[in-house]
Amino acid sequence: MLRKPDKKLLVKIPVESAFIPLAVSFVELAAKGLGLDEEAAQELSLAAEEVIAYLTGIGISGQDVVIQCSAGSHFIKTEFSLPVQNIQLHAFNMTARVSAEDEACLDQMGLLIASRMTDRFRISRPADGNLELTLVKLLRYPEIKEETDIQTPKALTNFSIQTPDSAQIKWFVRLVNQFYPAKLFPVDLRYPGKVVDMAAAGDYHILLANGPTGEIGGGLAWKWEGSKTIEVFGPYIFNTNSHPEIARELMETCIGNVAKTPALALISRMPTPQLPEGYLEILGILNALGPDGGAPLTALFRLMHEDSGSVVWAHPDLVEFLQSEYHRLVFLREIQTVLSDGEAEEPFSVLSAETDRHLAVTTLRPIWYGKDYEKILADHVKLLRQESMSAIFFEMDLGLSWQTGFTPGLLKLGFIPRMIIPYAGKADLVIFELEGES
Amino acid sequence: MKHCDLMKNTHIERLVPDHIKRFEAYIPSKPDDMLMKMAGCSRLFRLNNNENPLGPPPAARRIIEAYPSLRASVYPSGDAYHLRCKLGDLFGLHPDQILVGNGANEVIGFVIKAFCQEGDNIITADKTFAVYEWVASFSGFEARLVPLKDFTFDDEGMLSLMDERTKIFFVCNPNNPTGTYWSEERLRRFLDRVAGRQIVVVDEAYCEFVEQADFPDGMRLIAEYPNLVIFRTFSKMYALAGLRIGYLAGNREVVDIIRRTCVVYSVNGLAQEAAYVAIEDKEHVLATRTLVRNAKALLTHELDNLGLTYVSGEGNFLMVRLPMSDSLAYRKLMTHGVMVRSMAGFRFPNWIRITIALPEAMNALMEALFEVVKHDR
Repeated sequence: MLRKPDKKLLVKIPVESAFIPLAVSFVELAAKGLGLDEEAAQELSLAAEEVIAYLTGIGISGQDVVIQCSAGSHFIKTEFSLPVQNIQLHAFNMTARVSAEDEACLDQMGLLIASRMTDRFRISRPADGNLELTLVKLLRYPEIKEETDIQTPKALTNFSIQTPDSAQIKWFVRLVNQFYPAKLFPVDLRYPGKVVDMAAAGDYHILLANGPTGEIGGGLAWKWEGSKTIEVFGPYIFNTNSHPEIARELMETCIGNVAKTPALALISRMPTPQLPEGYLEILGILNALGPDGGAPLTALFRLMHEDSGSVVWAHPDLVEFLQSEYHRLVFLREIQTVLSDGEAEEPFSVLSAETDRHLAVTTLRPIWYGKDYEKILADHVKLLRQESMSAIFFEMDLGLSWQTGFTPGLLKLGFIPRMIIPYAGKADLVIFELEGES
Repeated sequence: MKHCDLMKNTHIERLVPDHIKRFEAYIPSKPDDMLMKMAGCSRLFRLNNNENPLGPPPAARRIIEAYPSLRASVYPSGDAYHLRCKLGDLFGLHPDQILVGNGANEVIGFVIKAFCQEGDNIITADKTFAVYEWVASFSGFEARLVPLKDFTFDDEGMLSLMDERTKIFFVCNPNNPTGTYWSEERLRRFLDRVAGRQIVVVDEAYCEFVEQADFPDGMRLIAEYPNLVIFRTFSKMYALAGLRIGYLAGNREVVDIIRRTCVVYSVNGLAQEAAYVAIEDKEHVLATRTLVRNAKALLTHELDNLGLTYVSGEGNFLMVRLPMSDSLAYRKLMTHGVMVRSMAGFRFPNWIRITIALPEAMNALMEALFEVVKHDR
C-alpha cells in the first residue's frame, strides 16, 4: 500500500452512542487508506470505539468531538479533540472508570483498553483548552536479518561526510546491527525500511563517513525528541583503525546541521565508546532498563545556545536536588519555592499517561493539580504495574508553579528525581523515575 | 480575551507562512544586571559583541553629551542627508551612492528585499555573520551555504553553487568570526568571474581594524564593478553600537533600486550627528588598532601557554578552541564574570569568540579561562 504521509482526514461528530459506528468506520477506513494493514486498522478502530464509548459513558454529551486520522513516516495516528470543562477533566485519568461502583472492573476503563490496542497512547491538554487523546499504531516493517555476516569494512584513511541515499542507509543500519550491541542504538535501527522511510520524511537525519570509493566507514543519526530537543545516536565507527577524526567530524557536522534549528539541547542516551570527548556533558543516569535489559542509561547533553539563566519554581522538598544539579551542570537558575498558604484547592487531579507498549515505558505528566493527587498518583502506579510497565517516569515542568505540588506525593511513592532536561518544557523539566520498577 | 482564545478564534496559525513556522526567533542575551544576578557575580566583562572598549571618538562623545533633549521631539533627517554627503566626500562617491540604515543589519534586509523574489537564492559561507542567512531565510529565500576553506570564504565553492536564480553573494571581509580576508587580487578575481550577473555584497564591518597592505578598499572598487555593494558600520571601530547606525555604498543605479526598499527615518538624529564626526577621527582608529594589536599579542601568548588552539586574524576578536562544549565554557566563564560568544551557533562547536578589550577585562578573561580549562574540567 502506498503511504500518504502528511495527509490528514477528519470528521466532526456529536458525542452520542448513535454515532459510534460512524466513528469506528471512519477510523478503520481512514487508517487503511493511509497505509495501515487490515489487522492493525481494525485494532485502531476498536480502540477508537472504546474512546467514543467512554466519552458518551462519562456524560460528555451535547458536544462535538473532532476525530483526525493522519499518517506519519512510520505510523498512523488518530486524534480525538474536544472541549472539556475543568470539572470534567478528572474523567480523563487513565485510572478513571465509567462507574464509581466498578472499582475492580477493568472492563469499564475504556481509556486503558484503548491504550492496550495501540502502540502509543497519550492524553494531553494543549493551550487551546481542548483535550486531546492520541492513539498511534506503528506501521509494520520486516526486522533485520542477522544470519548474513558482513565483513568488517576496511579502515578509512580518507573520508568525507555525506548524507546517504536509501541503499546506503540500509547498509549503514546493517553495519550498526552487526558491530554494536543493541543497547547502543535505537530499536528503530532493527528495521532498515523504517529508517529509510523516517529519513525520507525528515524524522531521522543520518550522516555517513564515506571513503573515496563510497565505502561506509561510520555514521551518526539524530532525530527530534519533542520540539526543543534533538537526540543523537552514535557515532558508529566500523573499523577501529579508521581515521581518528571520523567521529569528531561526524559530531561537528551534526552540531553544525542543528545549529540554526529551534533545538535548545542535544542529548545522547546511548553514547558509543567512539563519542569524542568534550562535546557532551553528563546530564544524569536513569535506572530504567535499556533495550537489551542491561545497564542503566547515562544521558549526555549539550546546550545549543548561550544559557543566560532563568527562574524556576520548586517545592522545598526538591530544592536540595535542584541546587546540587544546577551547581554540577553550571546552569544559572533562580529557584523560587512554592508552598500552599491555605488557599482553596481544586478537588481533583489529572495526569496524562503516555505509554509505549513496545518499550514497556510510561511517562506521566500533570494536567491538573488537586487535593486527591496522592491517590491519583498511587492509582496510576498500581495500574501501570499491573500493565507490566518496566519503567514509570514523571515529568515536572519547573516553569509551571502548580506542578510543584506533586513533589511530596511523588517522593512518598518512591519516585526519585533523576535528571533535569534544560528548557524542555516552559522551563526545565525534572524527570522522576519510580524506583524499583527496573 | 486570553491569548489562547485569540489564537483559537482567529486561526492565527493559518496565517503564518511555512518559512516563518520553521524559523526560530533570535533571543538576545539578557541585560547585565539580570545576568550578574543569575551568574552570582558582582561584575561582568562583556567580551561577546566585538565592541570597541575605547568608546566613541572624543568628538562623537561631545556630540552625545551635549545633545539637546528637545531635539528628541523632532524627526531626524529621513535619509541621513548630511552624513551621506560627508561619506561621499570621504570616499569619492556621490551622496546618492550611499544609504544609511539602523545598523548594518538593516541594510542587509534592504538589499535582499530589493533583489530577491520567490524562488531566488543567496550564496554565502556556512560559518560567518549569521544575519545574511537569517534575513534570507525568514524572507522566504534560499540561503546556499558554502563551507569555509582554511577558515576563509571559498570563492570557487561559492561560484559552483551559483545558478540563474542566484541574486546576491554575501562576502564578509574580514570574516566574522575567523578574521580571515580576501586580498584585493582575490576579490577582483571573484568579481571578474561573477561578471556582473549577481550583486556581490562585501561586508566590511571590521575593515578599519585591518592593517594588511593587500586588504582591498571596497569603496574604491565600486567604480569598476557596478554590481558591488559595500557594507560598513559605525558599531565596531567607531563604538556607536548603542546608537545603531551603518551604511551601504554602491553604483548609483544599484543604490537607486535598493533605496526603494529602504525604511526612511529609521536612523535617529543623534546617531547621524555622532557618526558625522566619528568618521573623521583617524587618531581613534590608530589608537584602537594599537590596543587590539597589543592585547592580541598578550592573549595569544597566554593561549599558547594554555596549549589552546586559536584563530587570530583581522578584527578586534579571535576564536579559541576549547577541550569542552562551548556552551559549558560559556556558563562557567559567566560565573567568573566574563561573557564570551559561544560558537556552536556559528557552526563552530567547542570554539568561543573573544572580543579584544582593555587590560582589566583581558586579565579577568585569562584568569577565568585558566580556571575553566585547568581546574573546572
